[in-house]
Amino acid sequence: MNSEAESEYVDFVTHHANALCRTAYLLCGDRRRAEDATQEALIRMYRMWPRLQRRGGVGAYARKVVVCTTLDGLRRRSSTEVVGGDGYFAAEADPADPLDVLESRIMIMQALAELPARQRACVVLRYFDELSVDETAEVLGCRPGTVKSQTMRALDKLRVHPALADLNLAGTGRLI
Amino acid sequence: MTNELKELMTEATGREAPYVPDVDGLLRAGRRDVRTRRILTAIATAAAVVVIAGATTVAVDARERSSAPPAAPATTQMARQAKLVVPPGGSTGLCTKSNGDTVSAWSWPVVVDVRDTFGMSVVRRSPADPEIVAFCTTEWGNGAGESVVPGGSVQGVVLRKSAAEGRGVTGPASVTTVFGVVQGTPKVTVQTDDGHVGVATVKAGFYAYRRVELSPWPGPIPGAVVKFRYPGQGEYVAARR
Repeated sequence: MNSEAESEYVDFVTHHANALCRTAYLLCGDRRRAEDATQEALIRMYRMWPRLQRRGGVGAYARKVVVCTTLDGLRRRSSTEVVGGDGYFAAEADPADPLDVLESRIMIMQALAELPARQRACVVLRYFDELSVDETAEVLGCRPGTVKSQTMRALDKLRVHPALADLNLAGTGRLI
Repeated sequence: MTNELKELMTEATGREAPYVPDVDGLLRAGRRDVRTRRILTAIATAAAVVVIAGATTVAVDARERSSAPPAAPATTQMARQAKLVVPPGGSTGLCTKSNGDTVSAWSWPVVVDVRDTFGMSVVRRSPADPEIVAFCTTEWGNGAGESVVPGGSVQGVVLRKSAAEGRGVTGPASVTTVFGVVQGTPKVTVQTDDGHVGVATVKAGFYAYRRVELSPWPGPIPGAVVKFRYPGQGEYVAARR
């Protein structure tokens, strides 16, 4: 890779690494693992960088690699580990404390952790990264119809999840 | 609810410190990854070239085998190029000098000859130049379509090989002819590769011997051990090839 391309790669990493890491974090619920997945994805991108520059769509490719890397990492550990870990949301919310609202919102991570990986990915990509159905399907390597159905099921589960029910989110009707 | 979800997820991730990648580490790892992949690609390419070359060699070899008789050893290749001619009598035959060069000598006077049901082996001398001698072998009309003759003489021994087909032969058979020069008229015995020892015909300073062997031709390079035994003396190996 020549110095100009490498400079552009550095620029991309500097500006997008945090966003990619946040997506990975929502997918795996673990900060350290999210950083590892992001770093692995960025190294992969270095190898592909000249081709990506010619072809375009660097951002989409980066997100795709991050999602795949993160989900692959979850798949490898899925037999022995629960996403988020046991002590992830151990703290009890205090209803008298206004900050509990904020704490309660963090419960979204617990709710996401209980979703199957593919459904969780659909929710994160659709509503956090704000991708369209087609873009989400492209990232996940599946058909748009699959994205719609997986998202529907995920939202149905989130609507009745106790952590989110406390936030009075369940009565909003159809979610998509 | 989608807006709520967005806010919840944003807040959840916002609680974490921003991820600041180690750019230098990424660049080092990326360069190392690229180098490794290039090396692996080069190795894989080299391996593929070796495999393709090997497969091509095997394929060509198989093709040559399928379109030609079993490959004769390399030493017969020069002789294989010799063209068979039809001598008087309707059989196929070949005359060569001792160095394996073909010569048209069917009309030359016979010095010594031996024959069997599959053909004859004849030493002929040039009428124009008595120093020039031809070693001729024939295969009778229903013999093999192609005769392969090993090249020049070795240790004074001229070996010729011809196929023996038809005439009641059911299995692979071939004829080994052994020619040579001899001083005087000793008893000349020839041991062929099949272990058989026979007596050669000696005349006018030359000997000739034919042996029908139960081995195919084209096939293994023939060999012979020639022994001389002069009157009143012991037998000794005069030549071997």
